[in-house]
Amino acid sequence: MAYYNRRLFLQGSAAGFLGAAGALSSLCAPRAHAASSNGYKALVGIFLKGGADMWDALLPYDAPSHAALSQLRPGIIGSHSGASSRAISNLLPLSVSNSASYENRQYALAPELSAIYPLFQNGEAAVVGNVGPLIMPTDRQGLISGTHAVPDNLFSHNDQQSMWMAMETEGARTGWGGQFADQTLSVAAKPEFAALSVSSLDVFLSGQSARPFRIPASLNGLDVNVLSQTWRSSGNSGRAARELVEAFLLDSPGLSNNMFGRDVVRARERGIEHMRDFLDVFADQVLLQTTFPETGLGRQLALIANTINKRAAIGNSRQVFYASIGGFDTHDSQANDLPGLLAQISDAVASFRDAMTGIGLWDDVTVFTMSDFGRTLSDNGDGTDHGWGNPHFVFGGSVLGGQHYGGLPALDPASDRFTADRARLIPDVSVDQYAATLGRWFGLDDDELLATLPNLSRFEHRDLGFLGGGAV
Amino acid sequence: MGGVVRRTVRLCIAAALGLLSACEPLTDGRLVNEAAPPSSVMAKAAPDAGPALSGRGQKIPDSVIQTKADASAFLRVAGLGATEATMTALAGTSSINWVQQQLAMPPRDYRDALASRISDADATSLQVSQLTYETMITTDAELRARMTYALSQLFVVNDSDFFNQGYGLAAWMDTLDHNAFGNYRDLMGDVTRSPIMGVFLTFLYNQKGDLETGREPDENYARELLQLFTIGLHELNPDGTLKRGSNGEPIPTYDNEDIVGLARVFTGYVLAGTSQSYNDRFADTWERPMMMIDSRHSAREKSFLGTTIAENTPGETSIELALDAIFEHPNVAPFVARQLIQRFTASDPEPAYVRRVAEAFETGYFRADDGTRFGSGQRGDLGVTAAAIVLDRSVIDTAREVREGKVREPVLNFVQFARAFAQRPVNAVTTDYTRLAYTSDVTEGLSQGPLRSPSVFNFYRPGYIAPGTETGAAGLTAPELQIVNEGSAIGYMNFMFDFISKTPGHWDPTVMPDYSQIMVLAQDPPALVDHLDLLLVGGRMRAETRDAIEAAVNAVPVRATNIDVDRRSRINIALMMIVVTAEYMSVN
Repeated sequence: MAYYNRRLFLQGSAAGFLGAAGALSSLCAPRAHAASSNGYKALVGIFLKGGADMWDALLPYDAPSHAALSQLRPGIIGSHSGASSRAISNLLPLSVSNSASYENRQYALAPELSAIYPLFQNGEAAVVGNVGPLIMPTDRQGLISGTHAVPDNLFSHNDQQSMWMAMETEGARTGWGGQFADQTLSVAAKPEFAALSVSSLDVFLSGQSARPFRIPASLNGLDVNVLSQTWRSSGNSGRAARELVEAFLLDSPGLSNNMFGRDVVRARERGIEHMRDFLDVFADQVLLQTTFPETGLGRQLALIANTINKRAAIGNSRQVFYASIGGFDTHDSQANDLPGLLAQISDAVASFRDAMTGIGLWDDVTVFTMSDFGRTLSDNGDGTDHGWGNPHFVFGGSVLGGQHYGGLPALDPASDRFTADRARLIPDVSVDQYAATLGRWFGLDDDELLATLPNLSRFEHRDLGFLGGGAV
Repeated sequence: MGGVVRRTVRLCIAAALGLLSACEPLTDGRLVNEAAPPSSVMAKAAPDAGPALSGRGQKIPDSVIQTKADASAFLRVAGLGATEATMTALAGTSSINWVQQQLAMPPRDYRDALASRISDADATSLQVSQLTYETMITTDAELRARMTYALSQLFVVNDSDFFNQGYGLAAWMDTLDHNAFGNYRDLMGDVTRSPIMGVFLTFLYNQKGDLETGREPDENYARELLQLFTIGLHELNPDGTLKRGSNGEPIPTYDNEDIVGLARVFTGYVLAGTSQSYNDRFADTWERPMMMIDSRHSAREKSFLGTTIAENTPGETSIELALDAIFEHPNVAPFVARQLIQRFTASDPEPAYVRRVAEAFETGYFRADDGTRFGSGQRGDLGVTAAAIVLDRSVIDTAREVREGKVREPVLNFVQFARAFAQRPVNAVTTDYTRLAYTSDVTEGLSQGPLRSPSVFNFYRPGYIAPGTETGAAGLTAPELQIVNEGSAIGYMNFMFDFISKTPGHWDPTVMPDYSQIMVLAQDPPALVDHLDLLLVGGRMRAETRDAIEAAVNAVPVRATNIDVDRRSRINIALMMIVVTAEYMSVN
């Protein structure tokens, strides 16, 4: 597989150079501007916090590749010992049309991903291999010689989470999810619901203007309890007090002379106001009937599904959602801890797919994974340490399944796709490219993508093709 | 002198030195290559903001606390919030004396406090949370409790790994609390040997590498010890700003080879004690340091940060040599100083403030403005560091700049209310589930709780700049806004209101309010608000806030037939409005 070509890069043009992304269509379909698009589309990002070892979710399936991973990870695949769940016979093989682009290596899912396995088989899901934060294409030699710019603070959780969400290390103020939402604000009926989180308000959803709304854990909403007090007074006086308190909470008079204090007050005022708007949307109490798993991620995706179901009441034709699940920093007990997390993802996504199919929206929703980083391909006894490149999954009716995307290099730590120590994979494709592919489907045009994704211009392919877009 | 003047002076100097072109905001909002002003320009020059003068025109040191209002304001910043008794006692005395008294107060002994009330079999992590709240609400040693809570956010563990290890988790609190005014190097050693940290950062039972199988030591603790507990990612100037290389780029403090080398050091620890079983909560295993087994410790050479530990060095010797080498790094003082300042007084401390505190850490001495000298002269003295933070001139100056100040942590917002109004005695520790067992929920709690950070990265990051905010636009770090935001505002209000409005019969009987001292004031709204202003925000309440609260309180008539109920309604309203104000939720 071809990787980075410095000569072409230095010329400032890499046109015509087939890069790491494997087989890509050369078709280039014109895309509508997000703001002017008709119909409904939603992006749903799931952040796997802690650095998910996706090479223990997607496994090599052909015997030599599987043996190579087993040799790198005697403690992990071995500690599934005896009847290892990672034995070839337990895996769920993926059949794709473009194996030739990957030297005919075969890949499979871990058995606990059985609920989403049919999505891969039906072409509603795909693997995007070896994605990670990059400034420009690089390889081991580029790292050693120092001639290639690489992201700061590699292998650091908080910084690489931030790189994934915002292409900057800690301290970033705008993420690409929020910036995608920015492009929709001018036509959004309710701009406050353009970017929505069912988890923490991470930088991913913060745009230049768009601000994330946190969907309450109960769609019955979150009342401000102080305002339901009657103050046990006679006549109308209790009500008057309540109205005065309410006015104060919604719009406190005057301004603090302290900037930090002003920010806190504004957050409270907006928090109440937006929560009330949101509760209005669910005033009819109609919820989807799909059963979601009673897990953290199951509940989160149920909230997203129900919010999408209220798209008419909200009136926005584009929305970006953010969910997250933690516990992936598997420095130890990986064989015990990771399968349960993977099952949680699998079961929640499968239910989400059923919910979307049920309301006829699966073609209009794309779900994708993100994570701090991949992990060392070599083990530390019973776990793995911080790495870099990682395979990721995309799901949705618009996903062009049946093939792999991105890079799936041979698991040979001696190759130039690995750092010199601990078998850490160097990404083949950048987060910018991954995001651009999603953004183009969402409706952003090339200029908007280049303005949003700071490293995109240094990569030849601005569309990895997994949403049917041609190579750009 | 207010910081506006200081800042202008600094920029002028920068311009004079031709540095303005470099004065572009970084991603963390700090100015690049800021020239530190010579001390002469730091001298107080503006008459309107100079030190207070006594009637005879003599300078009163800034450290003298003249009024109850100033005492209350100081206790919000340096302690856990005033009570009628503490602000009365402090008024007319000196903040320096207060700090001296506080530094002399003994640790809490969390483990013994828990053991005296709950059997080992019944103790869980929930009671450690309750005990930590109870301590913060009741202790006289509020500076130590504040420091311990700050350290728990630097050396982070999450209690969910230790539900059944109540005594062990209490012993972890003691590790922090006993060292809170001790030496940072000792704290590093105690943390490194704690089985709680050993589990949390996965180096308990970490094995040496195996060349045959290719197994390598777990890198987790080596990496986080450097990144989060001691030196950080980039070389720092003594004022905490980034050093820059000839290419203008920050200079990494370590690379992966350092991590691989250091990871070999943290191999060989196993559980000590009579039981080595993770789940045996009846043993004292979790209260004792881990035990080094040399045969499990890497015998290879260990190179990191320019230090090499020779091959075949025994485990404990390797640990000591490694911690010494890390502790000697010049980053430790500014790295620790800036984060501790952020926990006490400033969300985005001025570099000059960081430098002063780092100097105290570095030299082990701090000289207060009346000449009182604090310290052992030992590098890493945390008592001196605490004194330097809360007695800094930027804290006790009366004129404040908007840039100075801090978003106060939700936990401390609750603790201040509870110190002021909790019915004594407070017994929050119970095997029943109570709200103080778990306060970190976003929609029903404070988004924060002792030992409840979701990861080793704490509830918020020291470099966090809040998107879409005024401080963010100004490039200021405001870590606390990561959890104090639109998404958490209603949860905070409901949590506070639940405690403010508690009456007998509430499902959670711990920390009941006692308003007996202010019930009569409720008859007179201006007097009620005056009192709460003094007690809760140090007399700093803005006129608009006061008018709004008085109006709402006045709207509830006090009926002759329901005097107590109506007075109580007035108190509930006033308190609820105060705890959501900028004055209460931030310090300045």
